[in-house]
Amino acid sequence: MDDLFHVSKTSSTRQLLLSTLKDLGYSTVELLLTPLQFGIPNSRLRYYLLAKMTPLTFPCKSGQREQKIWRHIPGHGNDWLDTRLDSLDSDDAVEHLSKYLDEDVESNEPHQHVVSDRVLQKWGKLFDIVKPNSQRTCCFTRGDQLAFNSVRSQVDID
Amino acid sequence: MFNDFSRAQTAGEPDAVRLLDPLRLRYFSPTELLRLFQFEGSSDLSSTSDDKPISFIWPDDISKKTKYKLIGNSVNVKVVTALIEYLFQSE
Repeated sequence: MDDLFHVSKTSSTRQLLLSTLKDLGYSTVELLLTPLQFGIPNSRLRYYLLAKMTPLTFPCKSGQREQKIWRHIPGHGNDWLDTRLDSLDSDDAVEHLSKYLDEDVESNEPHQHVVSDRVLQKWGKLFDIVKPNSQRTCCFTRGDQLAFNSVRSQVDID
Repeated sequence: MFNDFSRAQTAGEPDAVRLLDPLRLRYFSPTELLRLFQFEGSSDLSSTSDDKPISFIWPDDISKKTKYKLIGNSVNVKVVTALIEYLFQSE
């Protein structure tokens, strides 16, 4: 199962789900992971819940109580630490966004995915703007998806 | 630059938005988002391997809006792969 953590953490649904799974004989592992831990320049922190039916069990869980929320996959790697505050050096472990971008077509025409003036006027100040050398992107979608040009990371090509 | 834009906009300048032109702002394309979500072999782009990563193919009749929506509701393939591998790992 995957979910937004802020939803899961505060809701009684999570506790109910966990206790129900336990009653049914499942062993569970809860995790909070970001693609950044896997070297991908996208934050997208998500809550994951894994469950296995007894007698199957999860490795590396000895001594850990059910309520722990792992910040890395047990036995694989470490917790992800936000390095932004530590130094201005780039994080070697995360790829640059440029690797993920389409090739730029030299053209005088507006870009196919250009942000319209109307959107800029209304939402310009709220955009999350990233550059090709960024190592992080976020918020690709917002709650209401009536318009495909909802607030997403923008790429600023220079 | 955004402060200038903000100021100009508050002052009611009709061309305030032109101040943002040098940034050449654009959205990510659906393909770029697919790469970020690891639906395509993005990490192999720079490798010299001849093995072309398998591309994700959209149905023909799907709109751009729907593409964004579907990607937004999806999961990161690489993260989920690691989770499934962990799930099937025995003690």
